[in-house]
Amino acid sequence: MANFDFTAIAKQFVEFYYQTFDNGRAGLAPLYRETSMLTFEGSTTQGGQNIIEKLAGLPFQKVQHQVSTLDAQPTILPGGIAVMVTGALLTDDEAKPLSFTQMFQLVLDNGTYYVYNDVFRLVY
Amino acid sequence: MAKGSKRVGAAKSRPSASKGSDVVMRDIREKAAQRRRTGPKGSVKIAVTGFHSTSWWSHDPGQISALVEQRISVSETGPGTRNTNGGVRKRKIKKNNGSKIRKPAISGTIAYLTVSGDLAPKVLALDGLRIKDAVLHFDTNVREVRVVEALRRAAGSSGLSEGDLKVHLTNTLSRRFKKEAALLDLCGMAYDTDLSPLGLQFAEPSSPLFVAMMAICDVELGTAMDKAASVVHVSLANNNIGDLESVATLAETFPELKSLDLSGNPRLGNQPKFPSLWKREFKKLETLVLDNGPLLSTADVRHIIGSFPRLLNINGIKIPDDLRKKVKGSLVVLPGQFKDDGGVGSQFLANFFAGYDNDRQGLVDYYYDDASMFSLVVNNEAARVSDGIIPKGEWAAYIHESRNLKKLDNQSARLKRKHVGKQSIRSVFKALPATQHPSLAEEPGKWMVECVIHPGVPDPTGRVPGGVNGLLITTHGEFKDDHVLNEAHNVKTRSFDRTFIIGPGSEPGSIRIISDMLVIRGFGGADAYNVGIATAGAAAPPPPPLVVQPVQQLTPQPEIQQPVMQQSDSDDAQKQAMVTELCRLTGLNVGYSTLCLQETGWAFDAALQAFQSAKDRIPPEAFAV
Repeated sequence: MANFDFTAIAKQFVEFYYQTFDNGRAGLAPLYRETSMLTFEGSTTQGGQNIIEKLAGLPFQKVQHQVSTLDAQPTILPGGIAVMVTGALLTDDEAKPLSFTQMFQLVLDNGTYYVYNDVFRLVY
Repeated sequence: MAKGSKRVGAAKSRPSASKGSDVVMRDIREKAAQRRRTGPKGSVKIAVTGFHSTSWWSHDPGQISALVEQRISVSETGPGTRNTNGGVRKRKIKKNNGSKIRKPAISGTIAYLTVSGDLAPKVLALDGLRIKDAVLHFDTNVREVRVVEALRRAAGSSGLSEGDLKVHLTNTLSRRFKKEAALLDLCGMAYDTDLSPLGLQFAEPSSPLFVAMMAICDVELGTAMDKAASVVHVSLANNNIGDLESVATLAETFPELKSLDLSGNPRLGNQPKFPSLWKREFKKLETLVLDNGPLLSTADVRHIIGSFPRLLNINGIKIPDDLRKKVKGSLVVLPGQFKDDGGVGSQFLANFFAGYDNDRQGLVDYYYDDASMFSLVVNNEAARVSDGIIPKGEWAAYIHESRNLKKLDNQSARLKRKHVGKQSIRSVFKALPATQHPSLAEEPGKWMVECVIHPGVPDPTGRVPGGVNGLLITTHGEFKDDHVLNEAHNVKTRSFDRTFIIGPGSEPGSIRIISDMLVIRGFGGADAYNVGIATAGAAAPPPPPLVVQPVQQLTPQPEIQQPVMQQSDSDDAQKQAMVTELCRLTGLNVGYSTLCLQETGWAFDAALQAFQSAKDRIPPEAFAV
């Protein structure tokens, strides 16, 4: 697995993730599995369906993510990728954007990637 | 009543207060009209009427803006140059006027267009425009149009003339306005004998009555400043309101309200649709009274404070400070989750940052091996605490190593900036400015560290072929660096986010870094994650226990074992937080709150429900501290 283009996958993943999040976060369901774990602002949720419910229940209607930086490294798992994103998000009619950091651990399973760990934090 | 009496004093100091209230109203009215003419700088709000209930109107707001655009374009370019292609005409408008007319906001029978000042006269010149059976009127006196329209609709249904209806409603409102208390008391309005002859529902979405009353308040009470001074509290209690939509215009008329009573409207339920209706329109609202029904759950409270940023009390219960503080924007911030594995993670962090500051070369030897990876990214867009002057070249010491895959497309640069193995990491660490991180143990408030299990990292000893559990550690914090800028040494505080994946090393009991990813950004402070530091008396979970070891004494770490998810620490912390919240919301003491939560299996909302249904039978000692 040494030659797979993890940077392209990471980039594609990040674009897809935030676009889907902003357009209707229920659409993220295919990215999580039963073993997936979301740590969102210190609250942990395990399992795809629970994660989607957690995201759907976040107290804002509209959200817009703006990615500022993206870095990725292959991890030892077959095809595993660690993706680190920083950026800003704007919720509802909030005037001031909030800075966030999000860490994804992508795992390859039967030819498709899913999110094993997802750690989200507001940082400013 | 302190506030009330203060208001009376303020009112008396106004010169017009000695006149009769009609005169006061007239004065205010004139002042309002004067201010209205000037309008907000740059743009003009225009009310459009005459389209509703005509065969021309297709209920598409875009229809009005398209018509206005087209007509202005025709008058500008003249019939001779008229192009049949609508798209071309539109572009012309955009070019000539610098702005396209946006879709108006529709409220009842009025459409509100906002246009630039130079465009306004052209739009207003369209007044009286006939199209099919519609006669469109364009007017900048938005408030008056609102009153006239609402009265026209209300009068139509009530059988009174518009003038009579206005007098009738103005009298009713004057009677309901308690000047001393700065209160507009519309309690029980739905059953007011004053209104019953009108045959109109007070607050039903289909009824124009509430809109008409608000419109009268708007004109009678004048400008925002005058309204704020005279009406601070509004009661809409006991009106059997079924849908807040029918009183939505309250926010347009009284955006400065400090308290709102919606009790006695059982049809609204416990979770009225505030967020979809009033998105922070009431920026100063401090007190909200909802139905006398069941207590609100924490989730309900969070839901509600999302719409009212300054809210202090709901149903007479003070909103717990920690609940309010944790709301940043509208997201709830909890302390870090640290699912450590036998203290390995916290030990690692203490060692790592001390080593990074004091002995990077030793650190590389200790924690990195030939498969370890390190990369760094500069985020120069992130929000900062201070908006002072940012010196040119502030990132010069880092930028040539920045591996931002969003911007960096050159494949060889991408590869070059991903450092693999001791050798490469050693050289990049050497090139980066010297740093000083605050101590994790002594200044935990400057940090946010989290740790989750990362499965399937290889076991270099080969004993577990399928791999063992490692840790994914995310850290956020700050550091000072000593960098050269304009040939001089500078010390600067910056913020960083750093993620590690660690696993067992080849030596028994040793730890190695598999992945190390660093983001450096302008200093953003610690407010976003400084929630672990509890306010006095609040039982917020303590920061993860950290043992600091001087870097010289680096010792082999306990071995990382097979899957272990030690949740006990964070579980306890969570339970403690639940107890505190239940105490605050119910007034129960710690013992009874704990009991209540235990009995409901630590399901917070269920515990609150249980309290609610049993509260009349709870012994007084449950509330004793």
